[in-house]
Amino acid sequence: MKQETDLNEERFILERLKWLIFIRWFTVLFIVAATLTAINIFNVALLSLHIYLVALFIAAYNAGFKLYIQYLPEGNHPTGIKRLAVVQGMLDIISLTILIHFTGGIENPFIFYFIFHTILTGMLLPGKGSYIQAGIISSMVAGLFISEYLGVMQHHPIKGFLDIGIYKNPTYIVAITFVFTSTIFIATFFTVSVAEKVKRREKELAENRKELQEANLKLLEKDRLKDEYVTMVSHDLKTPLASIQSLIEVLMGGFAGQVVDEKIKEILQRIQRKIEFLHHYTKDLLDLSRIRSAKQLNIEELDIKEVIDTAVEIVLPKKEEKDLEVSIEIDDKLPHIKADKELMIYVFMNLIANAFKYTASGGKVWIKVSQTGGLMTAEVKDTGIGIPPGDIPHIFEEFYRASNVVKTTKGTGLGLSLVRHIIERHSGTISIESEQGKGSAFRFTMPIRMED
Amino acid sequence: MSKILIIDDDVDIVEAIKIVLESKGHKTITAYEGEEGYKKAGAERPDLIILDVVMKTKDQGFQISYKLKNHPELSKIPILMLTSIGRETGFRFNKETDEDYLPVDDFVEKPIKPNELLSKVNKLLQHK
Repeated sequence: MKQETDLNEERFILERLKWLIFIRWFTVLFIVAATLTAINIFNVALLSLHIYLVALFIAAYNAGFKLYIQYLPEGNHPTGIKRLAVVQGMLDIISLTILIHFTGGIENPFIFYFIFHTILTGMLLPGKGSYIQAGIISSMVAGLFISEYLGVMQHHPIKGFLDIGIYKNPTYIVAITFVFTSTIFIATFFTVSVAEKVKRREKELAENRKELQEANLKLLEKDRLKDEYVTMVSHDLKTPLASIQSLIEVLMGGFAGQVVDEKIKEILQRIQRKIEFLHHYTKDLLDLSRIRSAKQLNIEELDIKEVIDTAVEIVLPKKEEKDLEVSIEIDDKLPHIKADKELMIYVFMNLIANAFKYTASGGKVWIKVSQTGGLMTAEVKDTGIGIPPGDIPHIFEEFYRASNVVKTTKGTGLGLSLVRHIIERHSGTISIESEQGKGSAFRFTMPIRMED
Repeated sequence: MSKILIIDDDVDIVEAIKIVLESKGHKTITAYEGEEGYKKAGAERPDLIILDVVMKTKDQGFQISYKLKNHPELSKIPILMLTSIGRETGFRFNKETDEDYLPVDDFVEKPIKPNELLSKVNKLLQHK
């Protein structure tokens, strides 16, 4: 954990170092341009050769750093980067001081450009390092002023700019040094406090992100365990249910002796109905957990007509004795689609079974499939009882059943949630339009060619 | 009347099938485990075998069906396979599409519907 945040900090510094190298090229250009301008436009006499040499020196070490960083192996430079930042800072300070020395020392207003340097390093280095640099800058500049004042170093005046020998004025030296030093330190203080805050925030964000990721992983694992549990339980329920169902069928069919008493027959029928419901419930649960936990779809080329015919055939018994008009309309031009066959049959089975279940005799059920662009749109529409407006937003939720059917018909509330899940697994969307008493229309759209 | 071997580890399913078949006058032999069933098939030479898929292992029924169909003398006995896994594993069995790799003659889904069972049993016995 700690190592990781260290590494993040290194990356943070490295990024800014690269940026610093980038702007240093402009500094070099600026030095050359400013010198040319001063000499040619303002007619100021400058030691141009010395200045260009310093510019060349800056350009040379900048190129060196650029190459060095480029060939630095990734993730293998924890402490090196900080050292690199310090070395670059020191070289910058030395170059700038030499430059100031050749261009009038204390008389050169460009000394205040040191503030930019202070701000940049303040963002790069930890607080202590920035203050040390501020101290070095101040002492080097003050040292330069004093040396020139004392004559230890030769003063190079800018001829044509300030010819009044300010460098010999002790009061001015003290005043400038004071203002300069305090400016540098105050700038450092502000920059460092802002930079530290930013760094802290970044660290917090990285930690939060990691915590969130971990929590998310835990949740996914729990969800998987839940699915596994559901599969196990429903599977274990299904086996004895099948035995009970088989035995009741045997009894009801009179194979173990005639059931003559009407009351006994009625009780057996009640038991049979409840068992059947449990059977469907466990089946739906198994389907749900199986489809939810399936990692891959079994994508193949499908003739949608075949899929719908199969689905209708399976659910036809649900039509019971009802007199329903069923119409199937499929766009002739629809090519074979690419989807999971088993699941697509399941989708149509569910939607059509619902239409049959909730539409009264004399009603109509339409199944319509069309295409637009690369998308297939399928619709299952009925003239059934419809869904109350308040239930529509929840109708695809697991275990949810509309208020107008919850008492009157049996159902698990899992079918539609599975349908939606399957459509979404095929990168599609499903929507519903329904008016209570008039009918419902389920419409889903999905890519014709689902990629594996 | 025919002699029918029922192989399933669920005693209640075996009982249900037994009652149904015996009510029509068939003689039944039962085995509650695959290997035991295979041995009884060899010893009793039934006219038909009703075989469950999931027993000791998830596919023991398949293994037994292969063994039976590779046996020089037992390979002629028709096999009616009991399945309940259609919905669980995502594939439904179908005589037409699955016979290449599943050497059984027909399928019956659990729970058992007596009339469906009887009609399939009769069909297989006639074809024998």
